[in-house]
Amino acid sequence: MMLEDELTVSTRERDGVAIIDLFGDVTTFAEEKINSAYREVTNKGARFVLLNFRQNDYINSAGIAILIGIVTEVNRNNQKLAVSGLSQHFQKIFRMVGLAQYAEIYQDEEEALAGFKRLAAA
Amino acid sequence: MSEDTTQREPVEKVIELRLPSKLGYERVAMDTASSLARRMGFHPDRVESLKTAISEAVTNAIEHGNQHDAAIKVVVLLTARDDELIIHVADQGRKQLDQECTTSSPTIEDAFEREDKGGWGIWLIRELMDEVEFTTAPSGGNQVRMVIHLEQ
Amino acid sequence: MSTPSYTQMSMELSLPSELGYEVIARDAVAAFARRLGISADRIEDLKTALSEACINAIEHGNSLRPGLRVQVFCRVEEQQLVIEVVDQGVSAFTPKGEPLTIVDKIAGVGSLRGMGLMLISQLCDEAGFVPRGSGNCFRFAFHRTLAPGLKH
Repeated sequence: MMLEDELTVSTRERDGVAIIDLFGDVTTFAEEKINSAYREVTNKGARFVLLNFRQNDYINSAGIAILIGIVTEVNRNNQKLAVSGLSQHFQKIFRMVGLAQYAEIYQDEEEALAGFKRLAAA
Repeated sequence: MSEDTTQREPVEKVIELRLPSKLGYERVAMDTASSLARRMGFHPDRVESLKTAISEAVTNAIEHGNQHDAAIKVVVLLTARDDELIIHVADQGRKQLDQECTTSSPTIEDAFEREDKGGWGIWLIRELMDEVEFTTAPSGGNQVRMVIHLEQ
Repeated sequence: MSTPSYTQMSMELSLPSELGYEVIARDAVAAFARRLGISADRIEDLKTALSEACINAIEHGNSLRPGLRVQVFCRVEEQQLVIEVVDQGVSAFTPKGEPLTIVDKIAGVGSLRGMGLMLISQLCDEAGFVPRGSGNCFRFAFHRTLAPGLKH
């Protein structure tokens, strides 16, 4: 009855990067789905992880807390994290919160993959 | 034609919204406020900031002040003036807001060390709005008053 | 079997009785309806019906008198979303057929002249005026057929 399940999380791989697509609202209800997608790609040995968002979606501070949790794990697991597809507004929020220092912000997936390629080559 | 010497009173239009205290309904406050703000002529960036700030305020009211009791309401007052939009968000104060929370400046590095990565809501409100004040509502609950100025 | 919890889902909105503000009401109620799994098509119908009802309230029920209010009540029932639009009853509702006044012609904004109520009744599952102590109350309902994939 109530649309609590408004987020779809799916994983895929491209060019050696594990991409986690987050389409929908990233709020407190997203925790289980996001964490389990991250665990899944990490168990498969992912070194490069991309969180791919969709422009018009809504991320609140509970969602940001979940993402900080992911960054905590990424730091521990020596992985590299990036984000793509965020609206200008949420790119700003990510920078304000300090997430930009720990996850590169790209406009879109292609830009992110190119960025990871440069990292891998370095 | 007679000279009108009386001071023109500031024009104020008020929209009042009462929402169920259930997570998800902050979207209604966000859409209502953004609808008004867009029509007042706020820049899209400011509208987005307003949506995020009101989302955090209403979410706090739902979770803390009203303890997720869907039967009681979060009251949102939107007051449109010529040069600013004033937003009041009030809950029924089932739980009083700890005033300390209203002045914290979380950092991501601290968050890495903590189990609970949250606590960003109030800080975001302060960063995004032009004026922010945490007080008590007329009903006795927690109230946050936020103001966003309209740049001409 | 009815579940008590969702009959607690209700929303109230109060807006200035001025043409233009029905657009805010429209966005607010659409956001509320989205929480209930009502399809996008039906939400568009709901928005139009609500606009018309609000315009009637502003223009006719409140006779375009400044300083008055229009209230919108949204209530979730087991099978339907019920919306009531209430004005302050400066003028009691009279059925269509009365001649347009100069005020009507000058106002001329938004309302589909003479077609409003007919349009509403075609868009909604139920619609009509209901008796109320003071003010006109226009009530309409949208059945909640669950979108596929929803659990209950």
